Amino acid sequence: MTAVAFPTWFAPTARRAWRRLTRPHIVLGLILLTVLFYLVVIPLLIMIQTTITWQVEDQRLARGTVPGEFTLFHWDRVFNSVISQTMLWTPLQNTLVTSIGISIFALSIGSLLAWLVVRSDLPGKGYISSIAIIPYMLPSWTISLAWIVVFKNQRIGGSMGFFEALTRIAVPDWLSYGPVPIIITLSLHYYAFAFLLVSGALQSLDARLEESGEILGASRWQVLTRITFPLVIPAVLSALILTFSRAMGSFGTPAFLGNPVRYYVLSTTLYNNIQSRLQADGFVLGLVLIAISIVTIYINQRIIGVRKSFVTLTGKGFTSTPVHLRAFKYPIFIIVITFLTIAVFAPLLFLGYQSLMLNKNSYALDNLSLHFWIGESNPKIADGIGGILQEGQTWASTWNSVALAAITGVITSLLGIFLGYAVVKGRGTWLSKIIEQVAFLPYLMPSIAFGAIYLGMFAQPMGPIPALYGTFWLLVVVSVAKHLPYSSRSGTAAVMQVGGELEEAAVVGGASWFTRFRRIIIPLTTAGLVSGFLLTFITTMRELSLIVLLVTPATRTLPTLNFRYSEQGYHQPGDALAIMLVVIILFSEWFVRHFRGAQIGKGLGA
Amino acid sequence: MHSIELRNITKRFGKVVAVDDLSLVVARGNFLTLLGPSGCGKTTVLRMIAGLEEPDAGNISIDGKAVFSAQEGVFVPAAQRNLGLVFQSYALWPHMTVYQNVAFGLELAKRPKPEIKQRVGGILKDLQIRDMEERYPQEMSGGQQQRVALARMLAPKPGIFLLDEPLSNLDARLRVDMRSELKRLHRDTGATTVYVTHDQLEALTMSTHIAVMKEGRVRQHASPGEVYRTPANLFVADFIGSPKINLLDAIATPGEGGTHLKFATFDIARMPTRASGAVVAGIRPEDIRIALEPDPNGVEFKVYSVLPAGSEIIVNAHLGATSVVIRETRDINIEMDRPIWLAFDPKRINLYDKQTGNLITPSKN
Repeated sequence: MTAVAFPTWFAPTARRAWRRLTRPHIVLGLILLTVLFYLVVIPLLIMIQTTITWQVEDQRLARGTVPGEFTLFHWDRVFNSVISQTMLWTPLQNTLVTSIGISIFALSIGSLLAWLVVRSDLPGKGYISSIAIIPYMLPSWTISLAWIVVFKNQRIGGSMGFFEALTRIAVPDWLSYGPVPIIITLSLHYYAFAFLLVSGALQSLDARLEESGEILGASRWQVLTRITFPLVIPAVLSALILTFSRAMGSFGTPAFLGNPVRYYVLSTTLYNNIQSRLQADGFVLGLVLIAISIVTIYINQRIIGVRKSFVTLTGKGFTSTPVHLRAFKYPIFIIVITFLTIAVFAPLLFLGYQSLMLNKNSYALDNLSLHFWIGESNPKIADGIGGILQEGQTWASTWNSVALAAITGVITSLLGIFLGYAVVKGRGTWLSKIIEQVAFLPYLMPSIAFGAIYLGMFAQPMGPIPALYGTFWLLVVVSVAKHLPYSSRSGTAAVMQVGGELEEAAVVGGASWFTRFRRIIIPLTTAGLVSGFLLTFITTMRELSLIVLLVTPATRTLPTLNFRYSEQGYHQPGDALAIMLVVIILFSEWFVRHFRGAQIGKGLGA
Repeated sequence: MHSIELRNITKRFGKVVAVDDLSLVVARGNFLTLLGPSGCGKTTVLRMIAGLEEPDAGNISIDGKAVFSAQEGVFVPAAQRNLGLVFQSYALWPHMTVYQNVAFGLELAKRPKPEIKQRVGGILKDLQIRDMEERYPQEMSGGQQQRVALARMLAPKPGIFLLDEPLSNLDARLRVDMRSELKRLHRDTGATTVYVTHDQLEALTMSTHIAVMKEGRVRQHASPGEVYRTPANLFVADFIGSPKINLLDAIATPGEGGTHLKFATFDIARMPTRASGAVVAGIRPEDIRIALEPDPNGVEFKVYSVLPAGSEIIVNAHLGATSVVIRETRDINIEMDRPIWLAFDPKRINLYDKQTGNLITPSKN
């Protein structure tokens, strides 16, 4: 070093400060914070900004507007105008009704099933629990498609459903479409989520806590109500909130089952607004969704009193004597099996059957054909849509889906480890806290609203990022961002498990940061990485709400192609695609689990 | 062989002062044990010497060369300090075999393959775990893992050994065996060693020097014998020794033939230490002699409990509110609740100032 004309204290202090700033987790943390800022904070700000400025499209709605100038026009229009009722209040009410209904049903079913599987002597528990989580892996709208196959009626659906064709009983409208089927079908999907969370909590419950109660003379029932239930209540409540928030943001099912009878919820209204180029109004609805979500999560944290109570406990494998169901054992077993058949197998069977129906109105066996699977395009059938295995766009979408899910999975799990490293090593610093908080933000945003945010973002080049609108990479970016809360959480847990000393031993041994990461951290977090990858892969593969606003014909994925078919009334190819998607998902899950021992439950974080 | 010197080291974690203006010198080849209750800052000191933690103030030098200086802004990274560290948890990499764990440091130093093979093989042989090369750490017992951790530390031939409670995860029997092995290792390599423990027996049996720490400061730095015989203050006196030292309040008055000590329930005359006023007398349990028959030099106590432990008997005796613990090495039969006569050796009593808790003048023995 050459002599510098600084005060004598300066150089040591500067060197010290520089050394602190260049510690690996600080550098990494600052980089990640910048990334998070681009992925989460800026899009949200742009979304808000859009709602309070005049848009180019507004020139057809109001006179003398100057695009870009401040206005409360959109908020006023949504909240306080002649169209507010149809635009906001009715959909809001519908959203609340369906989401609350779904949360209650899904949670009751999921918790009950979890308790039976973890704590009772129900036969075949292992099989039951692996079948029970299948709905979580499948797109939430597959069940709604199957519902339509079975329960549609002639008046609205245009043709009879399975049920009417078999029984000749006309299905009433309220059972065919609207809130009742929405609640039923989404409950059959989301119960699996509650099941995963609650059974995790039950498994990690120390059996000795229950046994102590028993020794003091508590009956089984008292143990359940006074000890077990209060202990898992944080997990149950957070499962409730999560289900509520997800149900609110779900799009496919309300679109399939609500639109035909003009039963709109916020997510479908938001979609319609954006389709009608009323982007700012759609964004206002998106912010309303986000606000509701934030309020519910806030209430959850206040009730439970523990921050981060959404963190689920993971199983430590305490074994305890199972509760004997005695005379109820087999009746309960039969109920559970019937339920799983209805929730898991029946929808796929009905979709499969319909995909084989050449004429969509005839359920007769002689109408069965493989046309919509392998048939050549024929202008007389379904306006020339051929078998999905023949259609070019099927393969294009499959490729898009797999590529999207795989790339998102890899980026997400690596990013998760980096985030986990920065958070764990920086424990107690403001940087670590901010990263944790910002990475958590997408959690608060219902999928459809999050997708909407990205509609406005990246339309033009921003800083180092080129314009991404309409590209495949936009889908990758939004999927990675939406998974940030999970990846940062599971990454934090994984890095925490590695512990500081294993890395410090390498520091003393003379390993550089890069060497440490490559040879110590990454190998030791592989299990977490693979589980995180699996979860991301599957959820991205089946994702519809998040990307439905962002896909273009060139970037269409399997779920969005399916949505297009179904929306236009081409049910059979839609069903065939849904089945193809299910097969791909189940195969990937089996493949990863079989070869890497990863479990989807572990990827849920914590 | 290297010396270590810490000058005015302070380390804070947030508002907590973990190490408070601490100075300490470890001469070449010494075996220094940092001894203290949990949270006294001993591990932090070790980590600062290792270079895993950066002090907020002060200087650290190794062999006269500054490795840390707050004033100069010097900080030499851990890897360049030529030291080895064994963690309490061993921190063996679970995804590497024993061989890979031990060879890691040599590989990073870009040693030629044959040399690594020979060196690792030699160390594993010395530590009697040669046949476990291909095992993974989790397939080994605690004692074997401990040896792997030692082997990993030894492989790059560091000049300084740092050991952070290396024996605390072993069962009692193995711990005793490993003590003598570690002492032997220190003897054979001659490496300057800093050893952290909260176990006083480890400290007393293995070290050449002990630094007793409390609340981020060194309370006494001396040889094990000195720390045991003449603890510098009440904290050290109370912390070292098992069973614990008897600490009894007394009023001292200088008199003919020595100091007169007046306890609550009995007196001791002719103490060689000069003192006056409120004092605390520190009496080791083995420095009290039991008589089963009335003894003119003894004070009559009543036996409260008797705990025979094979080679010794620990007796707790009461006189009014005064309770003393005695270590008896003779094989005698003492029943509970019987009277005994206790004789105190004035020459082996340490007196502490009641106010400051510091040793008044070492008793001559």
